[in-house]
Parts: sequence; structure tokens; C-alpha cells
Amino acid sequence: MTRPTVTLFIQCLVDSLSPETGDAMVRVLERLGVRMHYPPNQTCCGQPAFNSGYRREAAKAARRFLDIFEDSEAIVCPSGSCVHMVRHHYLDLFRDEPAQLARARMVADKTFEFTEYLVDILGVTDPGAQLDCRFDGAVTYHDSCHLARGLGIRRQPRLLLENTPGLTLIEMDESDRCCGFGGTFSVKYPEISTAMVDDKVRTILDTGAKAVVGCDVSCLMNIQGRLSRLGSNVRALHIAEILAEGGK
Amino acid sequence: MNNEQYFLKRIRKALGRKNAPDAGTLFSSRPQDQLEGLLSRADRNRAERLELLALLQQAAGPLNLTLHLAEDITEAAQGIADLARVSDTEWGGDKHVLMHDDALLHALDLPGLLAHDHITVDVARFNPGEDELSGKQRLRDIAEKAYIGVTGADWCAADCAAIALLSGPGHGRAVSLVPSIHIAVLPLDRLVADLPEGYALLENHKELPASFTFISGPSKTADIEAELVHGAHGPREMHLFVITG
Amino acid sequence: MNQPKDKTYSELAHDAIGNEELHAAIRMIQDRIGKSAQALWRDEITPEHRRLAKEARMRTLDNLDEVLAALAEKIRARGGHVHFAATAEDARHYCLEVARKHNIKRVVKGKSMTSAEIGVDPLLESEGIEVVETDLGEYIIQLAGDTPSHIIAPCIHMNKRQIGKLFQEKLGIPYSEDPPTLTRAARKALREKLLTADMGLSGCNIACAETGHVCLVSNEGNIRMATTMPKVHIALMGMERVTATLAEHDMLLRLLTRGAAAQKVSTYVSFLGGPRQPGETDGPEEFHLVIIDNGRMKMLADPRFREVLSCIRCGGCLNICPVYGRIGGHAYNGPYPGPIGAVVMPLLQGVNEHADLCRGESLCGACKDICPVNNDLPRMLSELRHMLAYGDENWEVAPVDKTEARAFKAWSAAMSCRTAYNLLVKAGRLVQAPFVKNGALSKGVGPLTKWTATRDFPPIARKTFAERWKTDHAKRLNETDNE
Repeated sequence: MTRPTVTLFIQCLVDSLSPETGDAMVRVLERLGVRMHYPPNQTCCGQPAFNSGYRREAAKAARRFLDIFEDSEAIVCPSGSCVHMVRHHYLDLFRDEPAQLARARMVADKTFEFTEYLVDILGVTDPGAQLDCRFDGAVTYHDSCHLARGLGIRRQPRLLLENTPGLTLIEMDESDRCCGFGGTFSVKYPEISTAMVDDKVRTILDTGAKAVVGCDVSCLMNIQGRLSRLGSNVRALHIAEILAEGGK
Repeated sequence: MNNEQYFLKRIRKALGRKNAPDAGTLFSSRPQDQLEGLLSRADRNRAERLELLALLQQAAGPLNLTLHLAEDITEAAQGIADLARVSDTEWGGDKHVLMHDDALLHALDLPGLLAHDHITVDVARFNPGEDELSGKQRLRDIAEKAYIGVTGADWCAADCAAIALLSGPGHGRAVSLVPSIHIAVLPLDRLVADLPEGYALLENHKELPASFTFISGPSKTADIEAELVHGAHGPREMHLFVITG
Repeated sequence: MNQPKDKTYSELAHDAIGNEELHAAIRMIQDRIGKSAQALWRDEITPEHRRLAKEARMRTLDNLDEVLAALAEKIRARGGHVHFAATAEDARHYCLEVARKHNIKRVVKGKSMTSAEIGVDPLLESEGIEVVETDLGEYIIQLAGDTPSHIIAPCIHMNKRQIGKLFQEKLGIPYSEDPPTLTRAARKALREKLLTADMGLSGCNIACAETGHVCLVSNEGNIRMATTMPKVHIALMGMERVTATLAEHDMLLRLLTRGAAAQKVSTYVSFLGGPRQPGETDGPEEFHLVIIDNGRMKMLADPRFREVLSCIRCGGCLNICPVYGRIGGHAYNGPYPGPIGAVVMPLLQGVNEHADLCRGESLCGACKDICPVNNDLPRMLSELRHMLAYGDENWEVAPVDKTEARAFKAWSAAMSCRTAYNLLVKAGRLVQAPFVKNGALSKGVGPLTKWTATRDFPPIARKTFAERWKTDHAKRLNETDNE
């Protein structure tokens, strides 16, 4: 029986600011018997440039991404916004270049977000048994914009959380309201961004949960950054960390 | 007319076309059987229409539209006369009722019923031989003094309690607009289920008038702190009499 | 009545963010109507309905010349006048000419953003003509000398105490903060204006070409009064606010009233297609429709932006937008606020002039989700940012930020090979070193300062994931580097 094989697409923010998220994802996939490749020369999918309108620079990064990943069997990434970039905006970037567009389509078809890969491809339904994970306490879940609205992924993270032994999932009000990160928006319009994350923090604290879980490090560092500044003990965790927790 | 041609030419240029389009299905986007389907659905028997009344009642409540069911024209007439007697004028002065020039409304015989109540009833129509502009001013003065306006209704959509009033001679707009209270009288056979059916009836009309209006209750506003207040600029009270017999 | 641009987007946003009452008011509208609309799209209106509505809008736009010609022909056949105005100046001067011809002294207005766009009020007032807003919210705004902050609820930024004081001052009534009392006072004051005005000025929600009517929705009845009682009525219509058939109108009206106020239908829907006809006992003696371009032609011509003309101005996007929810309508500096405003204001009035509107949101996509005609506003904002990045000749856009452009060139170089990337990471570790306390950066450097003013930032990790893969995972997993 052949083991599934994936190539790890590690978001630049995860690589440099939250590598423990990458570690956690590796441990989870390892427990599920997945073979992993990791191209060490990968850098960035190009999203920051694209979001700010610099499509030439974004296209250059995108072409490099395609070079690195086009021969992969399946590409798995712990970031909804990066996967959205590849599956949607690469097609925008190359709409006038048929050869690149074909490559982009081919790569888009095999690029998955982490929870999507676990639930939809590997068929994980019982993280307790299959991952031997455990998390004690109440958590709430933040739906990232690109993951939820862009890719339609809402059910998969919840399924994994709800079936983690010891964990109680409490839904926050307006779980899919934007946290205010928006890439460079967070530093170009910091006051608006902060007002938005304050709204998000309020709905998180209203649940009484001890942690907020998400699938995008960009959102999580924005939310954690504000929670810490406000002196709150609530932690913002990537779902990979929950699924890797406990067990051996 | 010149600026229209130039304007349309610039539109064609923007669309990358030299000429007018092949209009084709542009003005017949709805399949004919869809229209016929709606029309036949709207064509209900009495029992089916009575069922729609429950829907109408449900819709009317939150809109502050007061629904009255009358078995026949006489009962409706008495109900309207009672309303006229107990209602006060908003701006003071004598009580004047203004009504559309409509066979159904004439059958109510409001002038007869209210003869001894110091309530005058006028019909919003020109007098024979009257100059239209003078007649318009005369009727406008009456409308401004009237506390009740009485109209029929061309149809009523039960699920949103909206009546349609098509304008025409003797069916002016001011009657349902200027007086403080609007009373509309609807025979049951003009009750349809929803706006799509109502629109189908409009579409089936040979020649729509220059103006028509949907009305679903007294006027309202929520502009002050989003608090709903009934009675803005249009009538502050509306009554719908449905004649079920 | 456009607000003069003396404050920036961020400054106006700052004012709004500090205003807790405004925040609460907008949240109330968003909670009530935004969430209701979401529920309606989920439970009552099918995705198919919205798809067909969008198709109808685009079909109308693709055939706009034919549709407008049909509308004009029908209205003229009834004795109405139709004027096609290329510019705002043309449109407002037409209104002035009509007013002069009839010696108009008093104009009553139904709420119309288009009237604000073309600047007709100041022009009429400069002729000594009294212009009275009759929509309660717009009337309050006018009395206060302010500008509207929401498409459907113009004075949501004012509380009842402020309105009570305003009415006490301007209408001479005893102070009250009771909305029914205040509404009754406005009803009385405006009835007098509505019944003595000699001209009515309105917008147009969605005209119907095949029957030849403009259509106006309202709950207050002021639009009916303003378009029935005065002897002249002028309706202002952006050239795209029309649909071809009655069947399409049915479909669009249902979306409009639900998106705007979670209503099945507004209290009044008026179809107006000409002056008083012979034999009719009331109605204006003259009816004018002014069809306006003022920059829409250019949007129509650009395939990237044509779709924004399908907007039916329901306000739904305002009721779901987390940015609008905090910054309010005034920050948009013009007649069209919210996500739709962020796209049309730059396209109508200048992309560089409104650069903040193009860049000052997070592209969260909630507006696209809620739009009843499936307008992809985030895509268009992205296109606007693209134009601002490199400039655009057709739209006369100059690159907005040379420093940022240089930064992204440097970024591009850093991302183009892992060695450069690693150098950047190493440099980052050096720079951050003095600022790291308790595992976080609470003070930053460069652009990061704007973040760290209100939020902590994670420091660059001692080992990147790439390094950890090499030392911690690769051997264990028996993998060789994939180069």
C-alpha cells in the first residue's frame, strides 16, 4: 500500500515568524503516515506584492513557485490565504499567458490547505484516535477571510476541533468577520486595522474560551498581538498545534 | 434629440460596437410559458383565495396595515362609515372624505351613509365641461383638506400586503397620498399570492398608465436611531377592506 | 452636497473610530439589516435568482443604447422630456434651465445620491431657489448643515438628543428626544413644503425600459408627494440604473428592498413615466428624465470595471463591511460610501485623488458575498491597486507610492533566491535584537512601528522552518533535500 506523498508549501510568515506551526504540521502528517518532501529553496507565493497591486513582482514570485512545485504530487500549506493566492490569483496573473496559465491551473488543482487535506483527501474524522492528540479546555474558532469565503473551507477545521478529545468548541459571534490584518493594510491603515481587531477580540473574549484557533498565521499574529498588548491570557493558536498536542 | 444620438453613439463606442445591437430576446427575456404559468397560478377559485387571506393577515400586522374582512359591499360600507365617524382629523377643520371615481366605491354609497354625520364625501373627478387645470386645483384643495382618501385596488399581493393602484381618469394619485388616512377596498377575486403574480398581471395589461404605485401600509421611517415610527409623510393610517362574498 | 476634502481618509476614519456612539449606531444597522440580508440570501433568495439578476444587469449594460432608446421613446410618447447629459455640469444646468423656465421658487427633493454627485443643489440655491430635502434623514442632515453617512440611513451618525436639539433650534418646537414626536414635527414642517413646492427633484432606483417608467422606492411617502404635487418633476438617473423588461424589474426590486432594509417590499413603489395625462386629476404638468453619464461611459468601456455598473444601490455592502463598520460614511469623502463607494468614487472622480479608498480596506470579501447581483468588488479594488502601483494611461493614474514600489522591487529580489531571502532574515534578526522583550516586539522599526503602536509583533525565529527541517525533521523522516 503506497503512502500518500505531499510537498510542504511553508508560508514565508510561518517559515520566519512561526516555524513551530510548520513543525506541528510535520508531526501531524508524520503520524498519519504521509511521506513529505520539502523544497528548501522555496520563499514566497507572491501574495504581499499582489495584494498591494505590484503584479509584475507577484508574477515573478509565482513563476518561481510553479518551477519549484509543478512536479509535486500534492502540495499542502498551513495557510488559507496562500492557497487562495495559488488557486485564484495565479489564474488572474497569467490570464494573458496561455503556457503559464496551463501550469498554474495544473498546480492549483493539487494545492491544498492543511485541514482541507486532512479531512477531504486523507479522510481524517477522528483526530483523537488517528492523531492521538488531546487538548483540554474551551477554544473558539476564527474563520479567516480567504479560507472561509475564498475557498469555502469552514466545515473541515470545525470537524477536527470538535472531535479532539478534551476540547470544547464555542462559536464566537461573527466568526468570519475580518480580523483586520489585510496584509500591508495593517501597517498602512493601522488605526482602522486595530479597530477591526478590537471587534474581533471582543467576540473572542465574550466566549470565555482560553484560546482562539485559526488556520492562518497572518490572522493569528494580528489577533495574538492585540490580545497580548491588552494583557489578556487568551492564546491564538494554529490548528496544527492543537492537532499535534498531547500524545507521543 | 441631437444629444441623445451622440450619447447613444458613445455608448456603442464604449461597448465596441458600431451599430445598434440585434435586440433579439432583450425585451422578451421571460419565456412565454413562465408568464402563462404565473397568470394561471394567480387565477384562483374563491376557496383558494380565502386561504391566501391568512397570508395577508400575517403580512399586514407588522406593517401596521389594518385589515377588515367584509362579507359583502354593505358590510364594507358600514365599516368604512364607522371608521369615518370615529376617526379624527389630523389638521383640524371639518371632516372631508375624498374617493376615486370607481363603480365599486360608488356602490358603497358613502355619501348616503354619512349624510347626517357632518362628513362630506367628494369624488376626485372633473365636473362635466370643467377646464382640467381648474379642476385639478379644485380637487387638490379638497385633497389637502380631506382626512380620509378612499380607493379601490387593482390587485393585492398577499405575502407582502401590497396593493397596486394604476392611475387614470378618476383614479388620481393624491387620494391615496395626501389625506391622513387611506382606505382601500379590495374584492377577493383581486387577491394574488405574491409580487411575481402581480407583475405578471401588469405585464398582461394592454397599456400600462403613465403612473402606477404599489402601497403596503401606512408611511413609516426609521431614520432616527433606527427606531421605527409609523406616519412619516404619506398617510399615517391605512385600512384594507377585503370583500370576501 | 460634497464635503470639501480637507481631511484625509485616515483622519476622518480616526474621528469615526473615536466616536463610540457612531460605532454603536452602525453596528446596530449591520446587526439588524446586514445579518438579515445574509439570512434572506440563505433562506429565501436562491443563488440562481442572484445569478439571473446579474445576467440581466450585464445584458442591459451590453445593450444599454437600445434599452435607453426604448425608455426615452416611451416617455416622450406620453409627453415627457428626456435629456441625455454627458457631464455633471450639463445635468445640473438642464435642471436650472427647467427651473428658470417655470419660475420655480421652491424645490422638494426625494433622496438622491445622484443629485449630490452632480452638485445640483448649490446651483439652484445660487439662483435664490429654496431646495428642501424631504426624506427625514436627509432633512435632518440639511438642517444640520452636514452630509449623509449611509446610503439608506443618512443620519445614522446622529443620536436623538442631537436631533431633538436641532429641531428645537431650527423648527422652534419644545425639546424632545422622542422619535415619534420628532417625526411628527418633521411631518408637519415638510407637509407645508411638499404642498407648496413648484418643482420636485428625485433620483431613480431602477427604471423599466419596456414599459417606459422610472421607479422609486420609499417608506416615507415623501418621494410620492414630491413627484405628484408640484407642477414640474425632474428625475435624475445614472445611465445604468435601468433594466429592459418588467420581469427583470420584478427580480431586481425584490433584491433591492431585501438588501436595503430586509423588506419584502418597501411601503411605496412608484412607477412614473410621464406628466399628468389628459383626463387625469393630478400629477405634474411637466415630467423630465435626465440620463447621466458623468464618467460612467468610461467604466462601461473598461471590461475590468463594467460590472460595477450592475450595482442596484441597495446598501447591502455597507451593512456587512467591517471597515465601514468602524470608519463610517464620511471617511469616503463623497456621495457614495462603503465598499461600492470605494470602487466608484475613484472611477468617477479620480483614482489618485481617492487612492486611500482603493487601498484602505482588507479585501475580506464580505461585500462580494452579500451583493445581490454578485458584484466582485474585491477584484475591482485589486485592479485599482494595480493601476496605482504602476500607473495607468487610460485612467490617468500616476504611481501612488515610489517608496513602496522600490520596497517591492527589493522584496522581489529577496524572494527570487533562497540565499537572498536568508540574508534578509539574518539582517532582520540583527535589527530586531534590541527590541525583543519577553519573546515579543512591543516597539518596532520602520513600517513595523505602526503595528507595534497597538499590537505586539512576533520576533523572527532563531531558526527558520527551513533550518529546522534540515536539523530536526529531514533525518528523522529519512528524506533528502529536494533540490
